[in-house]
Amino acid sequence: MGRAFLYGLGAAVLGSVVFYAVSALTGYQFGLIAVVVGWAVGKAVRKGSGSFGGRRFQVLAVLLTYASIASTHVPGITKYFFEQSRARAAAASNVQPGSAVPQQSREKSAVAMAVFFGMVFLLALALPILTAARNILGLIIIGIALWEAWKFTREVKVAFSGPFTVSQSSSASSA
Amino acid sequence: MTSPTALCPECATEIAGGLLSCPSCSRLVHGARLTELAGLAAAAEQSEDWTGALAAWREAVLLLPPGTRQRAAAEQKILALSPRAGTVPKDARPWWQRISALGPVGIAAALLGKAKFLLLGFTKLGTLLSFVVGLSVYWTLWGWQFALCFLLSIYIHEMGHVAALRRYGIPASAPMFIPGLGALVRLKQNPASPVEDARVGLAGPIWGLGACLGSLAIYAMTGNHFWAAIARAGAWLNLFNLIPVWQLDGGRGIRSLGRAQVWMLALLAAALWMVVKDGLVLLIALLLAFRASTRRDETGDPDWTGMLQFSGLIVALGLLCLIPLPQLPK
Repeated sequence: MGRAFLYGLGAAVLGSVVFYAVSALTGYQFGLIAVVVGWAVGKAVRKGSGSFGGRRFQVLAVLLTYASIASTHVPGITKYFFEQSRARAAAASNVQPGSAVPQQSREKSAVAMAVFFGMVFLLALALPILTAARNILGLIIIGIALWEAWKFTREVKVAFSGPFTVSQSSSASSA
Repeated sequence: MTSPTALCPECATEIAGGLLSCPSCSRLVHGARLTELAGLAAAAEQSEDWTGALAAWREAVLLLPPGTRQRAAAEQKILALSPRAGTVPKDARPWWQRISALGPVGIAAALLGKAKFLLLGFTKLGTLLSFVVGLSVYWTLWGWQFALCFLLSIYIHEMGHVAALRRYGIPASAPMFIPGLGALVRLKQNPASPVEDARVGLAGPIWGLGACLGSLAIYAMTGNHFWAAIARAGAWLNLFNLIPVWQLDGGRGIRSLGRAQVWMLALLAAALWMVVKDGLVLLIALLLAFRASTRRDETGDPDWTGMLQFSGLIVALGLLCLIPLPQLPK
């Protein structure tokens, strides 16, 4: 399970990076990349499972795929909050330029940033559901991506047939 | 444990379902059908019906066990016939003479034939249902007129693939629409050669370009910006399909090209990007450069027809993305 998680996480992170890179380069957000992420995460989790698959791997693949797709909203949300924060600070600030930040404030600031990014990530996870009514196409694309991840991590069912009676080979009519 | 489906008529061995030859005496399970197909293929070749011959040999390949000499022979036949598929019968007359010889009735019949082919997809329940589902989704976003015309342009693109697949005798599913992603056609057999793959892959964008030009012509005649929007949306979608990765049409389209040709396409796309300044064209240029740099040197004749098709499509579709649209009131 650990190996499947690591492989899937790698594919999910790579998928997020590709999605964001293409979006930044072209200005477009291609739904197809989300589907490819689902495919890639599904394949990676399956490989990590030793190609056996199964329900728990399917759930893992779906969760990682969803997290990967939703995480692409993090930069946008972060940018929004920072811009809002800067605007508020500019309106109300009376801090002297160049003043040093005390040590205790820097430590608190690091903790605060960690909490902030954690909350941003949670918001990003909720965003596709919160905006479902206005973004039905996005929801459909996420659904397809999750389906791809689910499909690739299905349990392999080994089917046996037979036993069959083999007669003595009479004449060689070989193929 | 399951029971077998047949007994070998030669040695009475029980043959499991799905096997193509007897595991004991190696007798071909589908011998009778294979003899029939060989006869059909010979007759089709005699009458220069290359598509019919290809279809027969492709069905035969599916019934022959891998690694057998019969299968290898059938695959060689497909490779030999594939370049001839879609060629018109030898006629020394110039094209305008051939068309005028049809007469008005003949020309109308030819056009009706194309129209009939275009309607063929809607006779499949899966295509029709997925079209309706897609229409209902896009209707909520863009209104029924735009949604209908947009989906029809996607449909024409997919029927381009279907037409090429039929020409090469490759069995395939009917088009299926997927809201948000477009549509797809599933191949039931792989193309026999990179050239075949490229022709099938680029047939969709070629037909799609035709649909865009049709919309543009209506806009030119009527001045209605709706048709300009349809042409531009269709052009962007077909250009997206030219991204040279994975199973997209562009990925298939470059399969028959050599490294130098892919580099030339990359440079052409880069030059086009300087003009149209669209991020999608830049993405295509970068990915073409990537594919060219990772390409192995291949032997064989360079496919200049495919090169011409791909470059023509990039330029035409890229320029169509420049169609100006009026500012919508806020």
